[in-house]
Amino acid sequence: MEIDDLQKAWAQYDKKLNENLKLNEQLLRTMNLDKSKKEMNLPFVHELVSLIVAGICMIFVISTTYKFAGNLELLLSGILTSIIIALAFIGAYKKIKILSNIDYHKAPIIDLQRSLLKFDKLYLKCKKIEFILIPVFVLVALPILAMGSKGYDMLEHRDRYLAILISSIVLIYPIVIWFYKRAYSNKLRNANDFISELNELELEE
Amino acid sequence: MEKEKFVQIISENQNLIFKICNSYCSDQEIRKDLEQEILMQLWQSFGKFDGRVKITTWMYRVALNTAISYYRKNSKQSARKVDLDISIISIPDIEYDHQTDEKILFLYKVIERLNKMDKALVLLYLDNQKYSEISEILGISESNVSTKISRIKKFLKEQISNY
Repeated sequence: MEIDDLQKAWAQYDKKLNENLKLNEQLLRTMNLDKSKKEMNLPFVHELVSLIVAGICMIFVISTTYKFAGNLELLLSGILTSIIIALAFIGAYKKIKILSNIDYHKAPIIDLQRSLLKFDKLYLKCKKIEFILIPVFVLVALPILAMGSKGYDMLEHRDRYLAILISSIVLIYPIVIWFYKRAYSNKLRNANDFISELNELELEE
Repeated sequence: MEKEKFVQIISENQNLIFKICNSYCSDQEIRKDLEQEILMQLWQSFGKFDGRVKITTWMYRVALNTAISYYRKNSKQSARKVDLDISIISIPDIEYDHQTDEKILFLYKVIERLNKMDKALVLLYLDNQKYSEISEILGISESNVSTKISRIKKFLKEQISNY
């Protein structure tokens, strides 16, 4: 058997497929293509929601901080909270930019994989920062958010502050880990598989 | 109307999707998911198809991009939303040809051993695509296509001698 024989067999197979394959047109039509389109990009939707939420939160925190600027502790809480929210905003914006540039239609395979890798690298970096900043964020954001939304001075009730702080951290971490695993990690693993292949290709060029 | 046109294009080129799904997934269940995922991606990019490249080049690009990026768990979620548990493209009664079928089975086994990118290359090579077209679909240079295909041919020869 030679490669030519295999190619001939493949051509015959192709011909046979052409004659025998059956497309269930009805099924293809009923496949809710338009609706499912929205479901396809969970990370994209998540980043978009994060961007909007971060934007709203930033406006709220800045205005509250301005209102209570006379109180040094609240001022500090507001400034630090705004910085963390701004970081989240920038991260979400950058990720959206990469994701919206990914085009299955126009991008050759290598470019698509490069974009995915770029996104994954940024996602990992943001995730790392986010994991480090979660306790810091809860710590600094609680006083200004409580004051801004309920007019409640958290710093006056240190025991409650500590209880909310600990329970929030305990709750947030498992939720964030679970969500990232569902929405991102599978794609990340797949793209990482590609790094070696990409490297190999680039070395050959 | 657009949907009708899409169905017609899929109908005319369904063997391309069938071969890609078979090459990237040996498990029937996963294959069904991949098939739906490819059809979904094709549908999503169909509106952007401007005819600047051949329809098969476009289909190869989208289908291979999807197959390579495909990860079972992710796609299962989207497939469940589509909620189809049977194949859209099926092969009900194919005439049995022992010799050819054995060669095809052997080819699929060899393809299974290749990495994702080489799978794409060998499929395009077997489908008699020009190096320039392969280069356009995969986004690598023609000389790189040629190098990689020579290497795959060498690998195929080794597999044939061990057969």
